[in-house]
Parts: sequence; C-alpha cells; structure tokens
Amino acid sequence: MSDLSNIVNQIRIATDFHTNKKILKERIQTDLHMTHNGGMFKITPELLAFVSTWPLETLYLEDVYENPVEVDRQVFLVTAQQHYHKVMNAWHQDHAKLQTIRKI
Amino acid sequence: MQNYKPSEKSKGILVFAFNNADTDYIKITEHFVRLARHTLNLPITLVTGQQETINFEVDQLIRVDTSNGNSRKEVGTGRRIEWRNFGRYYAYDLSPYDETLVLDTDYLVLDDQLLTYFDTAWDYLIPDRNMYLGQEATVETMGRYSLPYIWATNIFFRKTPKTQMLFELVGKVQRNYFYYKSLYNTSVSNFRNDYAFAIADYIVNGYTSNIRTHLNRTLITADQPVMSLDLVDNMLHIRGTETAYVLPVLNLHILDKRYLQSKNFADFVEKFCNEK
Repeated sequence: MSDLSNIVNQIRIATDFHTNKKILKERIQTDLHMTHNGGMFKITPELLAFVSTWPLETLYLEDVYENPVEVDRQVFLVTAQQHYHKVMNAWHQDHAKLQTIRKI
Repeated sequence: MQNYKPSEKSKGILVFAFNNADTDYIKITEHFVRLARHTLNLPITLVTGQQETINFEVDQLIRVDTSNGNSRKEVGTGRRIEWRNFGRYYAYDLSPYDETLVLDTDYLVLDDQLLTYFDTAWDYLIPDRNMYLGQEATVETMGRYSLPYIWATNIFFRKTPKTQMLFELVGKVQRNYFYYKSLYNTSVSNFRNDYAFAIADYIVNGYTSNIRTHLNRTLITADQPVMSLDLVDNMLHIRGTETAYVLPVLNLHILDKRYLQSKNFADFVEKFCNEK
C-alpha cells in the first residue's frame, strides 16, 4: 500500500475530539429537560438555585413552552436535583471517554 | 390553546414506507421497527403501498394507493433517484392513536428521550434545529430570502382541532406546491415535507413562528455516506468516508439509504438490541 493510501486510511479512522464534544453537548442539553406536572423544564443551576431559595412551598414556574406550571417546591427541587446530577454525571463520564479516543 | 389532559390515551408510532426502484424502504423499515420497539416499547403502525411485502411484525398495517412520484438526490452519488413521499398529511387521519409519533424510517431511535414529550402540554411538536455531523446546530431557512423550516423527520401530534388544521394545511400546501414554493421563495424546487410543514405551521400560528410547536431537541443528522456504525463501550462509533465520529447513544437521522440497507447496519441493529 502506498504512503498516500496509508494516510487516507488513517484519516478515515481519525475522529476529532472537538466535533464529538460538540455533539455530546447537544445531547446533554436535550437530556437536561425534565417533565413535571405537564410542563417541560430545562434544569439549570439558575433554576435549581431559584427554587431552593423560594420562601413558599407552592410556586409557579414558566416551562420551556411558556406555560405557567404549578409545582410543589420540595418535590420539584428533589426531582430536579436528581435529574441534574444524573445527566451531568453522564456528561462527565462520556466526556472522559471522548478525551481518550482519537481513532476508531 | 393547549388541549392536553392527563388521561389514559393511546400512544403509538406511525411510519410511512414505500419501496422504489432505488431503495428498499421496507428493509430499512424492518430495522427501524426493531430499534423503535426495543427503545420506546410503543405500538407501531406502518403505512405502505399495495405491492410491498411485509415480512416482519407491526401492530397495524395500512395499505394505501400511491401513484404520485417525486425525486431527490442520492447521498454519496448525487444522482437523482425516485422518491415516493406519499402525502404525510394523511397521518392525522390514518393514525389509530390519540397521541402519535410520526417518524421517518431513516431516523434511528436509539434513546428513549422522545417518550418524555408525551408527558407535556402541546398539540403538536416538530424539531426546528438540526445539526449535521461535524457542523454547528442551526435553524435553516427554505431559501436565502425565506423563512426557517422545521424537520418533518419526527412529528408528535395529538388529535386536536389545531393539529387537524395543521395537517389539512399541509395537504393544501402539497396539492398547491407550485404556488406555495413561489410565495415562500423556497430554494428547492421539488416537494419537501419539511417545507410543507414549515409553511403550515407558520400559517396555523397566525403567520408567526411559535416555539410552542417546536421540539426542544436538536435533530442530529449524518448527511455523508456512512461506512459503518458500531456500539463500543456504550458509545456510538460512526465511520464515514472521510472522517469518523464518536457520539453518545442518541437518536440519529442517517441520510445514506445504501448504508441502511447494508449487512453492517443489520448487524449493528442486532448488536444494539442485544446489548442495550
């Protein structure tokens, strides 16, 4: 096999970390969404901080489709924290895997 | 107005597949059905033509008469091939379910995130963002001086008056496509479901783009020829002709129909269903 063919074959099995990282992030951004009481919420650090400091036990949150949804503060907070932790943990694990892969 | 009521409603997947001289869509559908059933565990209804032979199990089979043809460019070769995109606007009437997920057969259902959308309030949801592998996620327009379009690759809908209006409008756009493609300045001359749904969505929402009808999930599309797909260490390895990608296990839209009919893809489906 010629040098050129070798190089072409090497390129074909090479994978770019930054491209893979970007696609992984898209997936995680979707996974951060969670349904609750008929609403769809993107769980962010800001939302978690807001809900955790709210002084009343019932509140109304705007979901991603611009609907106000009534939530029980404690129930929502616990569910959202668990969801956030699970997704971010998966992101961390998959990101670590990607860092080690340069060829497939 | 949203019409969501948290009651016991029937849910299922509706898929359209028609063979043509170039592509064995039924073979692709067989793999699609296996993956979708394995991942989502929902009943599947297949809409197909009168001549297609179905050798795999679906929950309902609906045979329709298809005489209108279309054409599109084939991924990999660029040659123009036959494409029978039977009116997708019939999905509303043909679906036996209260809540339906209409999916393209080239959309590989590898994760169950789509199920979460059944728990939220909407009449219909269609993705507006797409990310081609190796590129940025974008909202694309129908033409340089046209409106953004949405991707009819996956459509969620509930049987509500608003949804019915959407599908009727899609039918109207399809039947009068020469008029609408001029009106909306589309760059592609042949009929595209994506454009028809985008135009109808725009009209139904009072000539505005409405985020309430858009799926907050980016469609991930492999638009280049695919050489192989593999599942390694719970990651998806995709090898193209020029580069390779490693992705988390996610739903993937693959345009390369030749790959979807290949032995390698059949092996991947087998492996995925056994290991995941």
